[in-house]
Amino acid sequence: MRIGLLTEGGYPYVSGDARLWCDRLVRGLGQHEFDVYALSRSQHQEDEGWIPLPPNVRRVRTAPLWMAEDDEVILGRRARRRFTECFGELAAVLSGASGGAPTAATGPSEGTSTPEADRFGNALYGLADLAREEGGLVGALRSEAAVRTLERACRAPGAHRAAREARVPDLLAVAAHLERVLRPLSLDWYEDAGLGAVDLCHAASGGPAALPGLLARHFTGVPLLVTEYGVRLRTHYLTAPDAPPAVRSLLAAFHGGLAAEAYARAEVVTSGNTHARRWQERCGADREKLRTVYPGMDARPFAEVGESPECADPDTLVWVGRVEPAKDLVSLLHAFAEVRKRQPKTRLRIVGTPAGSEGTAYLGHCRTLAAQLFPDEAEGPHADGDNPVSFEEIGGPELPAPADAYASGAVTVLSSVVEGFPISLVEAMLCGRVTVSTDVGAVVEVIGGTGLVVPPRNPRALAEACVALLRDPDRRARLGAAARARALELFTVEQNIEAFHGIYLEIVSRAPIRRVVLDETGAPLPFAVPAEDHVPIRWAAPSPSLVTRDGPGWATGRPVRATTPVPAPEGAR
Amino acid sequence: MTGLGELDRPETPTSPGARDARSEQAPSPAATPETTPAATPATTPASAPEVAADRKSSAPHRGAADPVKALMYRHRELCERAVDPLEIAAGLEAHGITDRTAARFRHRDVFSLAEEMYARVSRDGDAPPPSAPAAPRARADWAMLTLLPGTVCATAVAAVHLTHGRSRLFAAAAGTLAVALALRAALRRGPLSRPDRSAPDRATTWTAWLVAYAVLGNGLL
Repeated sequence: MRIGLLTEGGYPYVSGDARLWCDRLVRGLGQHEFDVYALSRSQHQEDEGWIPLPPNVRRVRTAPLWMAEDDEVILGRRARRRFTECFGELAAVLSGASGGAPTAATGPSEGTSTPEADRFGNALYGLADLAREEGGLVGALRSEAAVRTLERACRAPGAHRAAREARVPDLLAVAAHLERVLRPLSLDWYEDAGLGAVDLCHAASGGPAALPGLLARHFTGVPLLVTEYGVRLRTHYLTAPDAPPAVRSLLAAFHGGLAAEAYARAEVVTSGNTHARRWQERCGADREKLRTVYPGMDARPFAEVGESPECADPDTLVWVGRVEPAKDLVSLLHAFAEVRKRQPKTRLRIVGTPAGSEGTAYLGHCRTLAAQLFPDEAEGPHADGDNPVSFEEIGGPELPAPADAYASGAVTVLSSVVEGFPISLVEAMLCGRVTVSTDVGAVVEVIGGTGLVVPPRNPRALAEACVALLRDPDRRARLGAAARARALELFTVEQNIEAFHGIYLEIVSRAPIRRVVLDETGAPLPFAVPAEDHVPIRWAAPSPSLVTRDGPGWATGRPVRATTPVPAPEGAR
Repeated sequence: MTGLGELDRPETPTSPGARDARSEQAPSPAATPETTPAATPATTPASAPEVAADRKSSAPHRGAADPVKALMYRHRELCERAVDPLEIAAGLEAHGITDRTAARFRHRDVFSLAEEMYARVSRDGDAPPPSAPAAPRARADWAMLTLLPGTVCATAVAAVHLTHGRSRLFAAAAGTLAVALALRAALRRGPLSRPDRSAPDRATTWTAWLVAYAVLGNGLL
């Protein structure tokens, strides 16, 4: 199978987002060919070069999303009129100026079949058709006509209040941003030799990366798979630079529309956790095309530690992560003070590097607090003392690898108030360590029943959970083993790759591309496609998993027991 | 911050059902931000103040009456800045508010909480946009100012031609003065004026050169 992997500021670049995941995916699926289509985000990123590519990557095509390059395409009169029409329609959708009742302020959450979503898609594909015929729209999108069209849409009746207030600098900023984001329209990736030849487009993130996939689907009917480990729309909201409300409103409308369009057109949308899934549902993705594929972690470095649970120091708590205020180490230190009152021999190891200048300041603050809360102590009157709380970093002589950090403690603690997908928890689980964590982000989803969860910002509850585990080695061992089993089942690289392999096969079986095979002279080649391909039966029934997994219909019944069921003994539960 | 908070408090329902109904209403076209700030106090029952007083005295702890208001105050910058409810939802989540936290505010999830906050916040831009009819009057002024120096100049030249002797001298002096004044008005507020008064005076110098050239012709060079 040939897969077009679409990335934006991602995979082949050394500093790309999610490059590790993409690299594992491409290497893990060696039986498939990959064509990588990458949009780069900055000059710096391009200068850093690519990571080494495996042999099953057949081609890499890149395009910059940051550079202004002019394509000297002069549009004729009719093309100009079509451009103004399509771009005006797009601008009208963005500014909320609709012909009928304004659906202001409801966002892109109204589902996929509303006229708003259709208008956005129609305008987008209208521009794409025009760009394909004319050979590029960069010049037109940068022209004064584009800005004027945008202005007209913002002044039209029914436009949002924020859009109505747009001044000329705002309009210029919006037009420049749209030109950059819509640059994939002008690329020559959609020819028969390019994305037209792949069986499946896999967008490694939502937003601009999915745009080439949408266009390939529009031009040649290639099915699209969108994978989002972080919701692109949410990232846009959180990272968008400060700008006048008009600019932010128009751009948010564009990104919302693009996300809704991608979710609506994609065959399958995958998310990394329930949180991302909720955003996708909110933005109009159908529930039935959503799949959760957990990120995979390399389990090998943790295997040794995980197999030997006895090497843990029974009185040590470990915290591992990047030091930043969102991790709420202060609350952890207070909880530890509570723990020390009841279990005086306990120690706490905080392992992590500070993130940025804010993190450094926070680490200093935590060190001071630890020194104030806990005086140095020694074994006897003649021994050197040290603090029960130690701050360390991975990479030193004592802790050469993350696994050693988890190995040194009996219980791994997480005290964050904000968390996405907690990698340190998964690592602790792979090491077979029981965890105590706060109920934030995807923590509950990751932990399942294999650790203790307490409310965030509640040091007393955190302390009680820690004490309960410190006093009960059997429970610790039991939960640790369960955690390792759960992590090995759900959060390994193999599971991740296997899941995507299955999704690829499912998509291709449901939405095969029928291509007319041509011979050298360009005439259709008869009998190039076997006759079975045209049998008017759906080989893949609406629920393909049922047939492909369980075989033919006579085998899908419930398995018949050969023996009478024996009630399981109490201990087996 | 909101100005409608005092009126809003008594409206806080005691049952989750009422709150949900309200939050469901929030995004509907009838309650879009253009109309909400005005509409919300209007829906408050007239007998509300007594109810508020009663509840206030019996409230067990601070902020219990309207927890969302306290939340909005804590995140007021986010609320005022947001251009749609999803932006508030993203910001709230970045501050660690989850669906379980939202349940405390009697909302199903963060999104519906964000929608209520978006609908309740009053924005600076709620005033109607600057009225459009200002433009034509300005245009008439502008055209008059543009034409004034030329008209005055023509009148002055005609007067100089039609008069003789001593009155001609007076006419020439009055004409020059009138042209100068008209020119000054045109430069102050007419087409050649500078849009920003605070900028350095270079533009004025250039305009003066231009006018001098128009008067003296090539002799100036």
